[in-house]
Amino acid sequence: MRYVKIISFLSIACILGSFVPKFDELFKVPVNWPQPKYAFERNPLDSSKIKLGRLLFYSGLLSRTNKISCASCHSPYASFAHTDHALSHGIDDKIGNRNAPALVNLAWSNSFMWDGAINHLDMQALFPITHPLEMDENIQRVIQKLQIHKPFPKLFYTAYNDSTITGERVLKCISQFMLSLVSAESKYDSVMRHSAEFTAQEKNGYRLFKLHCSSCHTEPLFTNYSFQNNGLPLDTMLKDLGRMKVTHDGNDSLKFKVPTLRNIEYTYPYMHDGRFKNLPQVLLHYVTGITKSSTLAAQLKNGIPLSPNERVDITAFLLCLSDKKFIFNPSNAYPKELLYDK
Amino acid sequence: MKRGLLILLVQLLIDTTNLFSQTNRLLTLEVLPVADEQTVHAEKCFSLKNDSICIELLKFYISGIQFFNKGIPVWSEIQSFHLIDIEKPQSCLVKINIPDQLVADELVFNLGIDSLTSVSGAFGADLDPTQGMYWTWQSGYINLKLEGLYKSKDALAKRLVYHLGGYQQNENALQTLRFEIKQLNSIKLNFDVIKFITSEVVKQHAHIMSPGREAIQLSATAKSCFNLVK
Repeated sequence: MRYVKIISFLSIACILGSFVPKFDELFKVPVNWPQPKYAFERNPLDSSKIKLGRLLFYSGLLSRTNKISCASCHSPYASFAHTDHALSHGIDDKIGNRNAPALVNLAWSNSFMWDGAINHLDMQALFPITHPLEMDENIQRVIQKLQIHKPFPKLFYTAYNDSTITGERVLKCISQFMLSLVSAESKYDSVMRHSAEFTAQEKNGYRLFKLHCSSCHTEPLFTNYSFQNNGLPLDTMLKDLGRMKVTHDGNDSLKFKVPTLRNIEYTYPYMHDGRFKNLPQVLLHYVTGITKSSTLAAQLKNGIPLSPNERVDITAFLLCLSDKKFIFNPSNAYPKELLYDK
Repeated sequence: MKRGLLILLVQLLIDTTNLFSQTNRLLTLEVLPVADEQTVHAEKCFSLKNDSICIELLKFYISGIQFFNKGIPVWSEIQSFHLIDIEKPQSCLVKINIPDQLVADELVFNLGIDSLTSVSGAFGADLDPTQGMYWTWQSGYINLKLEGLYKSKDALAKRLVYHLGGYQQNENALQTLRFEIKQLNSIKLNFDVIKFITSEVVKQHAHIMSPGREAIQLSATAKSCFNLVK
Protein backbone atom coordinates (compact mmCIF):
# COMPACT_ATOMS: atom_id res chain seq x y z
CA MET A 1 0.00 0.00 0.00
CA ARG A 2 2.83 2.35 0.92
CA TYR A 3 4.51 1.75 -2.46
CA VAL A 4 1.25 2.43 -4.26
CA LYS A 5 1.02 5.80 -2.49
CA ILE A 6 4.62 6.70 -3.41
CA ILE A 7 4.11 5.70 -7.04
CA SER A 8 0.84 7.67 -7.19
CA PHE A 9 2.55 10.71 -5.69
CA LEU A 10 5.43 10.50 -8.16
CA SER A 11 3.03 10.09 -11.09
CA ILE A 12 1.05 13.17 -10.06
CA ALA A 13 4.29 15.11 -9.57
CA CYS A 14 5.44 14.09 -13.08
CA ILE A 15 2.12 15.14 -14.63
CA LEU A 16 2.21 18.50 -12.82
CA GLY A 17 5.86 18.94 -13.78
CA SER A 18 5.00 18.46 -17.41
CA PHE A 19 2.76 21.59 -17.19
CA VAL A 20 5.64 23.84 -16.03
CA PRO A 21 6.63 25.83 -19.12
CA LYS A 22 10.10 24.95 -20.39
CA PHE A 23 12.62 27.55 -21.54
CA ASP A 24 11.77 26.92 -25.21
CA GLU A 25 8.14 27.71 -24.47
CA LEU A 26 9.02 30.87 -22.57
CA PHE A 27 11.46 32.23 -25.11
CA LYS A 28 11.63 31.31 -28.77
CA VAL A 29 14.16 32.79 -31.17
CA PRO A 30 12.06 33.73 -34.21
CA VAL A 31 12.97 32.04 -37.49
CA ASN A 32 15.92 33.69 -39.27
CA TRP A 33 16.75 35.88 -36.28
CA PRO A 34 20.26 35.97 -34.78
CA GLN A 35 20.94 34.39 -31.41
CA PRO A 36 20.16 36.73 -28.49
CA LYS A 37 22.99 38.51 -26.68
CA TYR A 38 21.54 38.05 -23.18
CA ALA A 39 23.34 35.37 -21.14
CA PHE A 40 20.30 33.30 -20.12
CA GLU A 41 22.48 30.81 -18.25
CA ARG A 42 23.01 33.41 -15.51
CA ASN A 43 19.30 34.12 -15.22
CA PRO A 44 17.35 31.16 -16.66
CA LEU A 45 13.81 32.09 -17.60
CA ASP A 46 11.13 30.73 -15.33
CA SER A 47 7.39 31.43 -15.50
CA SER A 48 7.14 32.34 -11.80
CA LYS A 49 10.01 34.83 -12.14
CA ILE A 50 8.53 36.36 -15.29
CA LYS A 51 5.23 36.79 -13.42
CA LEU A 52 7.00 38.40 -10.48
CA GLY A 53 8.97 40.63 -12.84
CA ARG A 54 5.73 41.73 -14.48
CA LEU A 55 4.27 42.69 -11.10
CA LEU A 56 7.41 44.61 -10.21
CA PHE A 57 7.33 46.36 -13.60
CA TYR A 58 3.80 47.61 -12.91
CA SER A 59 4.31 48.33 -9.21
CA GLY A 60 4.53 51.88 -7.89
CA LEU A 61 6.53 50.62 -4.91
CA LEU A 62 9.65 51.11 -7.00
CA SER A 63 9.24 54.89 -6.66
CA ARG A 64 9.61 57.27 -3.71
CA THR A 65 5.91 58.20 -3.75
CA ASN A 66 4.74 54.64 -4.50
CA LYS A 67 2.93 56.08 -7.54
CA ILE A 68 5.34 55.82 -10.48
CA SER A 69 6.01 52.42 -11.99
CA CYS A 70 8.13 51.36 -14.95
CA ALA A 71 4.86 51.19 -16.89
CA SER A 72 4.18 54.87 -16.19
CA CYS A 73 6.62 55.66 -18.99
CA HIS A 74 6.59 52.29 -20.77
CA SER A 75 3.01 51.46 -21.69
CA PRO A 76 2.26 48.08 -23.30
CA TYR A 77 -0.08 49.84 -25.75
CA ALA A 78 2.82 51.96 -27.02
CA SER A 79 5.17 49.00 -27.42
CA PHE A 80 6.39 49.95 -23.93
CA ALA A 81 7.29 53.51 -24.97
CA HIS A 82 5.52 56.71 -23.82
CA THR A 83 3.04 57.96 -26.40
CA ASP A 84 2.31 61.69 -26.59
CA HIS A 85 5.17 62.72 -24.34
CA ALA A 86 8.30 64.10 -25.98
CA LEU A 87 10.10 63.85 -22.65
CA SER A 88 8.68 61.48 -20.06
CA HIS A 89 7.36 62.83 -16.79
CA GLY A 90 8.24 61.01 -13.61
CA ILE A 91 7.99 61.61 -9.90
CA ASP A 92 5.98 64.69 -8.81
CA ASP A 93 5.34 65.35 -12.53
CA LYS A 94 8.95 66.31 -13.07
CA ILE A 95 9.98 66.29 -16.73
CA GLY A 96 12.86 64.02 -17.70
CA ASN A 97 15.64 64.57 -20.21
CA ARG A 98 14.81 61.98 -22.85
CA ASN A 99 11.99 60.26 -24.72
CA ALA A 100 11.20 56.84 -23.20
CA PRO A 101 12.27 54.22 -25.77
CA ALA A 102 10.25 51.14 -26.71
CA LEU A 103 11.06 48.02 -24.67
CA VAL A 104 11.00 45.24 -27.21
CA ASN A 105 13.35 42.42 -28.24
CA LEU A 106 15.77 43.48 -25.50
CA ALA A 107 17.44 40.06 -25.39
CA TRP A 108 19.27 41.05 -28.59
CA SER A 109 20.66 44.30 -27.18
CA ASN A 110 23.93 44.58 -25.32
CA SER A 111 23.68 48.20 -24.22
CA PHE A 112 20.75 50.22 -22.95
CA MET A 113 19.54 53.85 -22.84
CA TRP A 114 19.86 56.27 -25.76
CA ASP A 115 23.56 56.71 -24.99
CA GLY A 116 24.35 53.11 -24.02
CA ALA A 117 25.24 54.16 -20.46
CA ILE A 118 23.94 50.86 -19.07
CA ASN A 119 25.86 47.76 -20.09
CA HIS A 120 23.50 44.98 -19.01
CA LEU A 121 19.74 44.48 -18.98
CA ASP A 122 19.82 43.33 -15.34
CA MET A 123 21.18 46.70 -14.23
CA GLN A 124 18.91 48.81 -16.44
CA ALA A 125 16.09 49.24 -13.90
CA LEU A 126 18.48 50.79 -11.34
CA PHE A 127 18.71 53.93 -13.47
CA PRO A 128 15.02 54.96 -13.45
CA ILE A 129 14.53 53.73 -9.87
CA THR A 130 17.21 56.10 -8.56
CA HIS A 131 16.91 59.00 -11.02
CA PRO A 132 15.63 62.14 -9.23
CA LEU A 133 13.35 63.01 -12.17
CA GLU A 134 12.00 59.49 -12.66
CA MET A 135 11.31 57.38 -9.54
CA ASP A 136 13.71 59.04 -7.05
CA GLU A 137 13.97 55.98 -4.85
CA ASN A 138 16.83 53.76 -3.76
CA ILE A 139 16.99 49.99 -4.13
CA GLN A 140 17.40 49.40 -0.39
CA ARG A 141 14.08 51.14 0.35
CA VAL A 142 12.40 49.34 -2.54
CA ILE A 143 13.33 46.04 -0.92
CA GLN A 144 12.10 47.18 2.50
CA LYS A 145 8.74 48.06 0.93
CA LEU A 146 8.46 44.82 -1.03
CA GLN A 147 9.14 42.83 2.15
CA ILE A 148 5.95 44.17 3.77
CA HIS A 149 3.64 44.42 0.75
CA LYS A 150 1.46 41.59 -0.45
CA PRO A 151 1.82 39.65 -2.68
CA PHE A 152 5.57 40.08 -3.05
CA PRO A 153 7.03 37.91 -0.22
CA LYS A 154 4.78 35.03 -1.32
CA LEU A 155 5.77 35.45 -4.96
CA PHE A 156 9.48 35.55 -4.11
CA TYR A 157 8.95 32.34 -2.17
CA THR A 158 7.27 30.74 -5.20
CA ALA A 159 10.04 31.87 -7.51
CA TYR A 160 13.07 31.10 -5.33
CA ASN A 161 11.79 28.65 -2.69
CA ASP A 162 12.52 31.26 -0.07
CA SER A 163 10.98 34.65 0.48
CA THR A 164 14.26 36.55 0.82
CA ILE A 165 14.13 39.67 -1.34
CA THR A 166 17.47 40.96 -2.60
CA GLY A 167 18.53 43.56 -5.11
CA GLU A 168 19.86 40.85 -7.39
CA ARG A 169 16.53 38.99 -7.39
CA VAL A 170 14.44 42.12 -7.96
CA LEU A 171 16.57 43.21 -10.89
CA LYS A 172 16.76 39.76 -12.45
CA CYS A 173 12.98 39.28 -12.23
CA ILE A 174 12.37 42.63 -13.93
CA SER A 175 14.84 41.46 -16.60
CA GLN A 176 12.90 38.22 -17.03
CA PHE A 177 9.69 40.11 -17.77
CA MET A 178 11.49 42.45 -20.20
CA LEU A 179 13.15 39.47 -21.92
CA SER A 180 9.71 37.99 -22.50
CA LEU A 181 8.73 41.06 -24.56
CA VAL A 182 9.50 39.60 -27.98
CA SER A 183 7.73 41.18 -30.93
CA ALA A 184 7.95 39.15 -34.15
CA GLU A 185 4.37 38.85 -35.42
CA SER A 186 4.02 41.86 -37.68
CA LYS A 187 2.85 41.80 -41.30
CA TYR A 188 6.52 42.13 -42.30
CA ASP A 189 7.22 38.87 -40.38
CA SER A 190 4.30 37.12 -42.09
CA VAL A 191 5.62 38.22 -45.48
CA MET A 192 9.10 36.95 -44.61
CA ARG A 193 7.52 33.61 -43.63
CA HIS A 194 5.58 33.55 -46.93
CA SER A 195 2.21 33.60 -45.23
CA ALA A 196 1.24 37.10 -46.41
CA GLU A 197 2.09 39.54 -49.21
CA PHE A 198 2.92 43.24 -49.29
CA THR A 199 0.69 45.56 -51.32
CA ALA A 200 2.39 47.25 -54.28
CA GLN A 201 2.87 50.40 -52.19
CA GLU A 202 4.35 48.49 -49.23
CA LYS A 203 6.60 46.56 -51.61
CA ASN A 204 7.99 49.78 -53.07
CA GLY A 205 8.37 51.17 -49.55
CA TYR A 206 10.35 48.08 -48.57
CA ARG A 207 12.59 48.49 -51.64
CA LEU A 208 13.27 52.13 -50.76
CA PHE A 209 13.78 51.21 -47.11
CA LYS A 210 16.46 48.65 -48.02
CA LEU A 211 18.13 51.22 -50.26
CA HIS A 212 18.19 54.15 -47.85
CA CYS A 213 17.50 53.05 -44.26
CA SER A 214 18.54 49.46 -43.61
CA SER A 215 22.27 50.10 -43.12
CA CYS A 216 21.36 51.35 -39.62
CA HIS A 217 17.83 49.97 -39.16
CA THR A 218 18.99 46.50 -40.10
CA GLU A 219 16.55 43.59 -40.47
CA PRO A 220 15.20 41.59 -38.76
CA LEU A 221 15.53 43.65 -35.55
CA PHE A 222 15.45 46.94 -37.48
CA THR A 223 18.46 48.31 -35.64
CA ASN A 224 22.16 47.54 -35.84
CA TYR A 225 22.56 48.70 -32.20
CA SER A 226 25.20 51.26 -33.19
CA PHE A 227 25.36 54.87 -32.06
CA GLN A 228 24.91 57.41 -34.84
CA ASN A 229 24.57 61.15 -35.34
CA ASN A 230 21.54 61.37 -37.63
CA GLY A 231 21.88 65.10 -38.24
CA LEU A 232 19.58 66.46 -35.55
CA PRO A 233 20.63 69.96 -34.47
CA LEU A 234 21.56 70.21 -30.77
CA ASP A 235 18.61 71.15 -28.58
CA THR A 236 20.00 74.24 -26.86
CA MET A 237 17.83 73.74 -23.78
CA LEU A 238 18.61 70.07 -23.19
CA LYS A 239 22.23 70.28 -24.45
CA ASP A 240 22.23 66.49 -24.78
CA LEU A 241 25.47 65.30 -26.42
CA GLY A 242 24.42 61.62 -26.31
CA ARG A 243 27.06 58.91 -26.40
CA MET A 244 29.86 61.41 -25.70
CA LYS A 245 28.58 61.71 -22.12
CA VAL A 246 29.49 58.05 -21.62
CA THR A 247 32.73 57.76 -23.59
CA HIS A 248 34.03 61.33 -23.07
CA ASP A 249 35.17 61.09 -26.70
CA GLY A 250 34.46 64.04 -29.00
CA ASN A 251 34.00 61.60 -31.88
CA ASP A 252 30.80 60.43 -30.16
CA SER A 253 29.28 63.89 -29.91
CA LEU A 254 25.54 63.93 -30.79
CA LYS A 255 25.48 60.18 -31.36
CA PHE A 256 22.49 58.24 -30.04
CA LYS A 257 21.56 54.60 -30.23
CA VAL A 258 19.78 53.57 -33.44
CA PRO A 259 16.29 52.61 -32.20
CA THR A 260 14.36 49.62 -33.46
CA LEU A 261 11.58 50.49 -35.90
CA ARG A 262 9.40 47.58 -34.84
CA ASN A 263 6.00 48.91 -33.72
CA ILE A 264 7.06 52.39 -34.82
CA GLU A 265 3.39 53.18 -35.43
CA TYR A 266 2.80 53.13 -31.66
CA THR A 267 5.98 54.74 -30.32
CA TYR A 268 5.48 58.40 -31.31
CA PRO A 269 6.86 60.98 -30.71
CA TYR A 270 10.23 60.13 -32.26
CA MET A 271 13.96 60.68 -31.63
CA HIS A 272 15.81 60.78 -28.29
CA ASP A 273 14.07 64.02 -27.32
CA GLY A 274 10.72 63.30 -28.97
CA ARG A 275 11.03 66.31 -31.26
CA PHE A 276 9.08 64.78 -34.15
CA LYS A 277 5.39 64.07 -33.61
CA ASN A 278 4.82 61.79 -36.59
CA LEU A 279 6.52 59.71 -39.27
CA PRO A 280 6.16 62.28 -42.12
CA GLN A 281 8.15 64.75 -39.95
CA VAL A 282 10.84 62.10 -39.39
CA LEU A 283 11.17 61.31 -43.10
CA LEU A 284 11.20 64.99 -44.02
CA HIS A 285 14.11 65.47 -41.61
CA TYR A 286 16.17 62.92 -43.51
CA VAL A 287 15.38 64.66 -46.83
CA THR A 288 15.80 68.34 -45.94
CA GLY A 289 16.66 68.71 -42.27
CA ILE A 290 20.11 67.14 -41.83
CA THR A 291 22.52 69.36 -39.87
CA LYS A 292 26.09 68.69 -40.96
CA SER A 293 28.81 68.15 -38.39
CA SER A 294 32.05 66.20 -38.09
CA THR A 295 30.30 63.25 -36.41
CA LEU A 296 27.37 62.99 -38.85
CA ALA A 297 26.75 59.43 -40.10
CA ALA A 298 28.51 58.97 -43.46
CA GLN A 299 25.28 57.69 -45.08
CA LEU A 300 23.56 61.00 -44.34
CA LYS A 301 26.21 63.43 -45.64
CA ASN A 302 24.00 64.32 -48.63
CA GLY A 303 20.66 63.65 -46.96
CA ILE A 304 18.29 60.99 -48.33
CA PRO A 305 16.70 61.95 -51.64
CA LEU A 306 13.05 60.89 -51.37
CA SER A 307 10.09 62.32 -53.26
CA PRO A 308 6.82 62.93 -51.34
CA ASN A 309 5.33 59.77 -52.92
CA GLU A 310 8.36 57.72 -51.92
CA ARG A 311 8.02 58.96 -48.35
CA VAL A 312 4.41 57.82 -48.32
CA ASP A 313 5.48 54.39 -49.62
CA ILE A 314 8.16 54.05 -46.94
CA THR A 315 5.57 55.00 -44.32
CA ALA A 316 3.27 52.28 -45.68
CA PHE A 317 6.09 49.78 -45.24
CA LEU A 318 6.90 51.01 -41.72
CA LEU A 319 3.29 50.38 -40.70
CA CYS A 320 3.90 46.73 -41.67
CA LEU A 321 6.20 46.54 -38.63
CA SER A 322 3.24 46.87 -36.25
CA ASP A 323 2.65 43.77 -34.15
CA LYS A 324 -0.89 44.04 -32.79
CA LYS A 325 -0.68 40.62 -31.18
CA PHE A 326 2.24 41.93 -29.10
CA ILE A 327 0.64 45.29 -28.32
CA PHE A 328 -2.57 43.71 -27.06
CA ASN A 329 -1.06 40.60 -25.50
CA PRO A 330 -2.82 40.25 -22.11
CA SER A 331 0.30 38.54 -20.69
CA ASN A 332 2.12 41.86 -21.05
CA ALA A 333 -0.63 44.06 -19.67
CA TYR A 334 -1.27 45.39 -16.15
CA PRO A 335 -1.49 42.44 -13.75
CA LYS A 336 -4.79 42.49 -11.89
CA GLU A 337 -3.15 40.79 -8.91
CA LEU A 338 -1.79 44.18 -7.92
CA LEU A 339 -5.33 45.49 -7.49
CA TYR A 340 -6.57 42.55 -5.44
CA ASP A 341 -3.65 42.33 -3.04
CA LYS A 342 -3.41 45.93 -1.88
CA MET B 1 48.11 0.05 -25.31
CA LYS B 2 45.78 -1.57 -22.79
CA ARG B 3 48.48 -1.41 -20.10
CA GLY B 4 49.09 2.27 -20.80
CA LEU B 5 45.38 2.97 -20.49
CA LEU B 6 45.23 1.06 -17.19
CA ILE B 7 48.16 3.08 -15.75
CA LEU B 8 46.44 6.29 -16.83
CA LEU B 9 43.21 5.20 -15.15
CA VAL B 10 44.99 4.28 -11.91
CA GLN B 11 46.81 7.64 -11.92
CA LEU B 12 43.53 9.43 -12.48
CA LEU B 13 41.97 7.53 -9.58
CA ILE B 14 44.90 8.48 -7.29
CA ASP B 15 44.68 12.16 -8.33
CA THR B 16 40.93 12.20 -7.77
CA THR B 17 41.35 10.59 -4.36
CA ASN B 18 43.99 13.20 -3.43
CA LEU B 19 41.70 15.96 -4.62
CA PHE B 20 38.88 14.80 -2.37
CA SER B 21 41.13 14.01 0.57
CA GLN B 22 42.65 17.51 0.55
CA THR B 23 41.78 19.27 3.79
CA ASN B 24 41.23 22.97 4.16
CA ARG B 25 41.66 25.49 6.93
CA LEU B 26 40.57 29.05 7.55
CA LEU B 27 42.94 31.93 7.01
CA THR B 28 41.87 35.29 8.39
CA LEU B 29 42.77 38.29 6.30
CA GLU B 30 42.17 41.36 8.40
CA VAL B 31 41.82 44.57 6.42
CA LEU B 32 41.61 47.48 8.82
CA PRO B 33 41.19 51.16 7.93
CA VAL B 34 43.31 53.08 10.45
CA ALA B 35 44.18 56.66 11.28
CA ASP B 36 47.02 57.49 13.69
CA GLU B 37 47.12 53.82 14.66
CA GLN B 38 43.46 53.87 15.67
CA THR B 39 40.78 51.87 13.89
CA VAL B 40 38.48 54.09 11.84
CA HIS B 41 34.78 53.90 12.68
CA ALA B 42 31.92 55.79 11.07
CA GLU B 43 31.58 59.35 12.34
CA LYS B 44 34.96 59.19 14.14
CA CYS B 45 37.08 62.33 13.86
CA PHE B 46 40.89 62.61 13.67
CA SER B 47 43.26 65.52 14.09
CA LEU B 48 45.56 66.59 11.27
CA LYS B 49 47.93 69.23 12.71
CA ASN B 50 45.64 72.32 12.63
CA ASP B 51 42.79 70.54 10.88
CA SER B 52 40.51 67.58 11.49
CA ILE B 53 38.67 65.01 9.44
CA CYS B 54 35.48 63.15 10.34
CA ILE B 55 34.96 60.02 8.29
CA GLU B 56 31.27 59.39 7.61
CA LEU B 57 31.53 56.51 5.21
CA LEU B 58 34.32 54.25 3.99
CA LYS B 59 33.74 51.13 1.92
CA PHE B 60 35.91 49.35 -0.59
CA TYR B 61 36.08 46.07 -2.42
CA ILE B 62 38.94 43.64 -2.32
CA SER B 63 38.61 40.89 -4.90
CA GLY B 64 40.48 38.23 -6.82
CA ILE B 65 42.49 37.02 -3.81
CA GLN B 66 45.41 34.85 -4.93
CA PHE B 67 48.53 33.37 -3.43
CA PHE B 68 51.81 33.03 -5.29
CA ASN B 69 54.91 31.02 -4.46
CA LYS B 70 58.22 31.97 -6.09
CA GLY B 71 56.32 34.02 -8.65
CA ILE B 72 53.93 31.22 -9.63
CA PRO B 73 50.20 31.33 -8.77
CA VAL B 74 49.41 28.47 -6.37
CA TRP B 75 45.86 29.22 -5.19
CA SER B 76 42.97 31.52 -6.16
CA GLU B 77 39.75 32.11 -4.28
CA ILE B 78 36.63 31.35 -6.32
CA GLN B 79 33.95 34.06 -6.35
CA SER B 80 36.37 36.30 -4.53
CA PHE B 81 34.51 39.55 -3.79
CA HIS B 82 34.64 41.14 -0.32
CA LEU B 83 33.20 44.47 0.68
CA ILE B 84 35.05 46.13 3.56
CA ASP B 85 32.75 48.59 5.35
CA ILE B 86 33.69 50.53 8.50
CA GLU B 87 30.04 50.40 9.62
CA LYS B 88 30.28 46.59 9.70
CA PRO B 89 33.43 45.65 11.70
CA GLN B 90 32.96 41.96 10.85
CA SER B 91 33.44 42.80 7.16
CA CYS B 92 37.06 43.74 7.96
CA LEU B 93 37.78 40.11 8.83
CA VAL B 94 37.85 38.19 5.56
CA LYS B 95 37.78 34.44 6.13
CA ILE B 96 39.45 32.46 3.38
CA ASN B 97 39.25 28.71 3.09
CA ILE B 98 42.71 27.64 1.90
CA PRO B 99 44.23 24.16 1.42
CA ASP B 100 45.97 22.86 4.52
CA GLN B 101 49.25 22.24 2.72
CA LEU B 102 49.38 25.54 0.84
CA VAL B 103 52.85 27.07 0.61
CA ALA B 104 52.99 30.69 -0.55
CA ASP B 105 55.23 33.71 -0.21
CA GLU B 106 53.04 36.38 -1.80
CA LEU B 107 49.47 37.63 -1.40
CA VAL B 108 47.86 39.28 -4.43
CA PHE B 109 44.44 40.92 -4.64
CA ASN B 110 42.57 43.68 -6.41
CA LEU B 111 41.26 46.88 -4.94
CA GLY B 112 37.93 47.05 -6.76
CA ILE B 113 35.91 44.94 -9.15
CA ASP B 114 37.21 43.62 -12.47
CA SER B 115 35.77 44.69 -15.83
CA LEU B 116 34.26 41.27 -16.66
CA THR B 117 32.16 41.30 -13.49
CA SER B 118 31.22 44.91 -14.19
CA VAL B 119 29.60 43.95 -17.51
CA SER B 120 27.93 40.72 -16.34
CA GLY B 121 24.72 41.97 -14.79
CA ALA B 122 23.31 41.58 -11.28
CA PHE B 123 25.04 39.60 -8.54
CA GLY B 124 24.17 38.90 -4.92
CA ALA B 125 25.91 39.02 -1.52
CA ASP B 126 28.64 41.69 -1.35
CA LEU B 127 28.02 42.56 -5.02
CA ASP B 128 24.28 43.10 -4.55
CA PRO B 129 23.28 46.58 -5.75
CA THR B 130 21.71 47.18 -2.33
CA GLN B 131 25.25 47.54 -0.96
CA GLY B 132 25.28 50.97 -2.59
CA MET B 133 28.44 50.23 -4.55
CA TYR B 134 26.95 50.12 -8.05
CA TRP B 135 26.59 53.27 -10.10
CA THR B 136 23.06 53.80 -11.27
CA TRP B 137 23.47 56.59 -13.81
CA GLN B 138 25.94 54.47 -15.72
CA SER B 139 27.13 50.89 -15.37
CA GLY B 140 29.92 49.58 -13.21
CA TYR B 141 30.89 49.05 -9.61
CA ILE B 142 32.27 51.73 -7.35
CA ASN B 143 35.58 50.30 -6.12
CA LEU B 144 36.00 52.63 -3.15
CA LYS B 145 33.72 55.12 -1.44
CA LEU B 146 34.96 57.61 1.14
CA GLU B 147 32.88 60.52 2.42
CA GLY B 148 33.73 62.85 5.26
CA LEU B 149 33.93 66.38 6.61
CA TYR B 150 37.25 68.21 6.52
CA LYS B 151 37.47 71.04 9.04
CA SER B 152 40.24 73.56 8.80
CA LYS B 153 41.13 76.39 11.21
CA ASP B 154 42.16 78.57 8.27
CA ALA B 155 39.28 77.91 5.89
CA LEU B 156 35.67 76.83 5.65
CA ALA B 157 34.87 73.18 6.31
CA LYS B 158 34.50 71.15 3.16
CA ARG B 159 32.78 67.89 2.39
CA LEU B 160 34.97 65.25 0.84
CA VAL B 161 33.19 62.80 -1.46
CA TYR B 162 35.08 60.15 -3.39
CA HIS B 163 33.33 57.43 -5.38
CA LEU B 164 36.19 55.79 -7.25
CA GLY B 165 35.60 53.37 -10.08
CA GLY B 166 35.63 52.87 -13.82
CA TYR B 167 36.13 49.65 -15.73
CA GLN B 168 36.43 50.68 -19.37
CA GLN B 169 39.81 50.46 -21.03
CA ASN B 170 40.83 54.11 -20.73
CA GLU B 171 39.11 54.61 -17.37
CA ASN B 172 40.04 51.42 -15.57
CA ALA B 173 40.64 52.32 -11.92
CA LEU B 174 41.20 48.76 -10.70
CA GLN B 175 44.41 48.40 -8.69
CA THR B 176 46.35 45.20 -8.06
CA LEU B 177 48.23 44.90 -4.77
CA ARG B 178 51.01 42.45 -3.93
CA PHE B 179 52.49 41.75 -0.50
CA GLU B 180 55.31 39.42 0.48
CA ILE B 181 54.11 37.16 3.27
CA LYS B 182 55.98 34.96 5.73
CA GLN B 183 53.09 32.83 7.05
CA LEU B 184 49.59 31.75 6.20
CA ASN B 185 47.92 31.74 9.60
CA SER B 186 46.68 35.28 9.87
CA ILE B 187 47.45 38.25 7.64
CA LYS B 188 46.78 41.80 8.69
CA LEU B 189 46.66 44.79 6.35
CA ASN B 190 46.07 48.42 7.28
CA PHE B 191 44.54 51.06 5.08
CA ASP B 192 46.07 54.39 6.12
CA VAL B 193 43.19 56.87 5.94
CA ILE B 194 45.37 59.87 6.91
CA LYS B 195 47.76 59.16 4.02
CA PHE B 196 44.73 59.05 1.67
CA ILE B 197 43.19 62.27 3.01
CA THR B 198 46.45 64.22 2.90
CA SER B 199 47.36 63.10 -0.61
CA GLU B 200 47.90 65.62 -3.40
CA VAL B 201 44.83 64.44 -5.35
CA VAL B 202 42.55 64.97 -2.33
CA LYS B 203 44.06 68.44 -1.76
CA GLN B 204 43.19 69.35 -5.35
CA HIS B 205 39.75 67.71 -5.61
CA ALA B 206 37.15 67.65 -2.83
CA HIS B 207 34.79 65.57 -4.99
CA ILE B 208 35.56 62.77 -7.44
CA MET B 209 32.46 60.80 -8.40
CA SER B 210 32.99 59.81 -12.03
CA PRO B 211 35.42 57.50 -13.78
CA GLY B 212 38.34 59.28 -15.41
CA ARG B 213 41.88 60.52 -14.88
CA GLU B 214 41.36 61.83 -11.33
CA ALA B 215 39.63 58.61 -10.27
CA ILE B 216 42.54 56.56 -11.58
CA GLN B 217 45.08 58.81 -9.82
CA LEU B 218 43.27 58.63 -6.49
CA SER B 219 42.80 54.87 -6.86
CA ALA B 220 46.57 54.56 -7.27
CA THR B 221 46.94 56.66 -4.11
CA ALA B 222 44.52 54.35 -2.31
CA LYS B 223 46.66 51.40 -3.37
CA SER B 224 49.70 53.01 -1.77
CA CYS B 225 47.79 53.44 1.50
CA PHE B 226 47.73 49.70 2.19
CA ASN B 227 50.52 48.20 4.24
CA LEU B 228 51.19 44.80 5.70
CA VAL B 229 51.32 44.67 9.50
CA LYS B 230 54.33 42.51 10.40
